[in-house]
Amino acid sequence: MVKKILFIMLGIVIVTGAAYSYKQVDFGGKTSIFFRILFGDQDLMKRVPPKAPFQEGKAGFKPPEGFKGGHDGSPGARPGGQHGPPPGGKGIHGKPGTGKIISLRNVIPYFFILAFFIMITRILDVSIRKASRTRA
Amino acid sequence: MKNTTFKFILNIFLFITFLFLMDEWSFMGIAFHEIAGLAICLFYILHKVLNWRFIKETTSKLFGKIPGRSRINYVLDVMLLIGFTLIVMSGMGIAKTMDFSWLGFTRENFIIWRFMHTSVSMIVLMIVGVHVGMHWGWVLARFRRTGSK
Repeated sequence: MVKKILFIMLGIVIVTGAAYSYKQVDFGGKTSIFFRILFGDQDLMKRVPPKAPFQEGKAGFKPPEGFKGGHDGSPGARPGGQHGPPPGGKGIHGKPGTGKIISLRNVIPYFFILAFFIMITRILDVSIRKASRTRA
Repeated sequence: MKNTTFKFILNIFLFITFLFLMDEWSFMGIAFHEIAGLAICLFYILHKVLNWRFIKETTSKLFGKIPGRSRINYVLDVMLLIGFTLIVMSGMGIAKTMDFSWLGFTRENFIIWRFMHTSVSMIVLMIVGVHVGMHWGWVLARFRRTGSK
């Protein structure tokens, strides 16, 4: 009896976690993209971010007269590296290419989705087996 | 080490690594994501080699008389193979720390590769769940056996 209650509680946790994770990672939206690519959805290509308003030397962009860049020492000029990574070299994802060491927080939604599919398959598998055994 | 024990450890390793790879920043960053992504494919091939007997027997009897369960497992395996191939291909197309231009991957189709990579990995996550669910009896039996030792 205790085992049954524990299983039901585990089931509720997995289903709730999976439902929450489904929204959080946009599982449905991301999955549907594959089928849209497969069936040649042209609208998808419109989501390509637009190119920069000007390309070096191509679109005829001219800087304002007298502009020498931001590091010319003029008043208000931005010192180099001001907007770069803070001292120590760590941005929001850590050092480029290394990232945070281990952060399981973002993996939890995927774990719940995976657990949900394992559980559903197991329930179906056991039910089908039981039904076929009863029929035999 | 026995073949089944090795298979079990390999499967757990594959499962955990695949879960970590779902978020590129969660485990050691993008460089690890790309290297581990390629490595997991080699381990996936090893996983298939270790189960070669099943593949061989089921392929020869696929349209003959085999249990429906084996047929479902076979179809799932084929879907996983296609899925992993697409993930690796699209991953090469969007790689940041490795250069795959020598394989013909250019930045022209970056968005399509990016969408494909995310989308297919979601579908593969679903199929992996079904695959593990179908073999859950074996997983439990292995855990019990390991625990009783």
